[in-house]
Amino acid sequence: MSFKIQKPKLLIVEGRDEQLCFEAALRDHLGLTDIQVVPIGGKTLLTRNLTGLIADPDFATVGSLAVVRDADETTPDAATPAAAQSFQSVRGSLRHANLSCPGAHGQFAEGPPRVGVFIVPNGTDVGMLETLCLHSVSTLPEFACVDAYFQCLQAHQIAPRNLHKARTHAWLASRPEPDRRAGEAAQAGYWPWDSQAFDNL
Amino acid sequence: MYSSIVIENLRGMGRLEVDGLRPINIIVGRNNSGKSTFLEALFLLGAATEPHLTLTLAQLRGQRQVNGATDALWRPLFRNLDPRAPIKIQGHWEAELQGRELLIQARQASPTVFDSSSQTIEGSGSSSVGRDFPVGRLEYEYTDGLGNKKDSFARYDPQTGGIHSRPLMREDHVITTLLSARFFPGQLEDLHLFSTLVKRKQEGDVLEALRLIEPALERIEVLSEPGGPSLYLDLGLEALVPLAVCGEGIVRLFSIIVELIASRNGVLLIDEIDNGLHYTVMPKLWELLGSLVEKHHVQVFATTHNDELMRSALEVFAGKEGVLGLFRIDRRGDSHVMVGYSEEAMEAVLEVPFEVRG
Repeated sequence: MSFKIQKPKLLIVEGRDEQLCFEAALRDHLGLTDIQVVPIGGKTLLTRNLTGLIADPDFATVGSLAVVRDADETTPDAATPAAAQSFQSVRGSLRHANLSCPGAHGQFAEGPPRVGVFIVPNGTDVGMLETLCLHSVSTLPEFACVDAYFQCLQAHQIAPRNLHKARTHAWLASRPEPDRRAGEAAQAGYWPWDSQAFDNL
Repeated sequence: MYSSIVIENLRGMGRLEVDGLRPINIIVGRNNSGKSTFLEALFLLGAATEPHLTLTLAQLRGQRQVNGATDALWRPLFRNLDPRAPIKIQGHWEAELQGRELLIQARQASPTVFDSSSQTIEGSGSSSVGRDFPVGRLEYEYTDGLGNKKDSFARYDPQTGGIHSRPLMREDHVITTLLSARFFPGQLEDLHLFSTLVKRKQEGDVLEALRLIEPALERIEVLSEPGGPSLYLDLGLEALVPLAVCGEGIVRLFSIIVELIASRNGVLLIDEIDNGLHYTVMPKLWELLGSLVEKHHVQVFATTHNDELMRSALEVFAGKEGVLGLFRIDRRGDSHVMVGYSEEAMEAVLEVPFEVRG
């Protein structure tokens, strides 16, 4: 079934998990119903797939859009912070699609459509969607169990390649349905939306 | 091959521009967006020195031809039924220095020849009187890719009751065939074209094409019968089967294939190409068209509402840069816009998958 633009505001995310998470946040935390979350594909596909989005027959009805991107640790240019690299990468994709570009994370450039860029977790630190979610539960007493688990692994010289995701999975393993990903967990109400961690949303 | 087209004041269109045309072009858009009009513009440009072929367009639109009613015949060609604004169609053909251009101007019917019982004639011989002057004559001005101009005309002929025109020879003539969604060629026309292909020893391409949807097909025969010659298919049964009794898909595919091969070095326009075709045939259809277009140097423009057909084309031609063009006509208020998809946008359409058709 084809993707269809149905709302005047678009939130462009990478994949299905991010889509589920932001849809839950918009609905359950922010009470916003006029934003459509669009999983446009992994970061390497953003440039190409934005050209398909802007050609959509209903794109003219879009008043504003925002692109959400992780600040990955895997970027090759170590001299530039990951968040800055992610921001520049998104700007390049927007320019390629002849869309306006904001000057910084969290800002909107005038349109039409207005365009914003948001680098997760906060525009500065390294991280991803799971980082944001983890922050929301890290002050809970039982989260000490997760910390203890990874300290134990470290003592045995076991280092997960992506610590943010690994810690997220470890935490979610303690929930009633233990096999959910971050986005599915959001839909199930496992992340406390009233946490300060989500204030930037 | 056309690389770009500009249309002005044709039917509902004020102005429409498109460039980046390819050997195979799919045109999508909502109902009444102007897809058929786009094909008609290409047909008119291809028939730029044969103004009597406006009759063909009228027939393909289902207009009934009434003796003398040239106004009813020609007025619908003009934007918003107002014949004062001339129709202009430009097309850039391959390596030519400048675009080919056709200008069609309506002229008022002369009172001596205009035959209408329902309209008042306001003067004669001039196109500048009254908003609703009855159209009795079309004047064509054609400029070829070298800048050479030629004029021709069409008008009602009261003596014959038909359309009299003055077709001209042109050196840059390209065969331009329009397959309408409503009226596909009849069996007689198919038979005539197929016979031509047999004479040229090109029937093998037709046979190969039809085997896409009828693998049992062994040969195609033209048989003489009391009512005239007919096309028959050998499907390996005890007797040959008349093409006319086969399914709509095979009959339509037969027409498309013979018209394409017969349009060598020309342009084939197919309105609603998916009519009668099962989705399983679509990838094979595109593969076939791809090879025939390359072999016979024909540029194809096909309209469709069918998402599966469009996506199967994107899949078949993925990675074959420069073969497929995907365009959508958007109607925005009173104007029309042609949205062309880049190669990467077409890849994105397959990946996400974005809606294309409007």
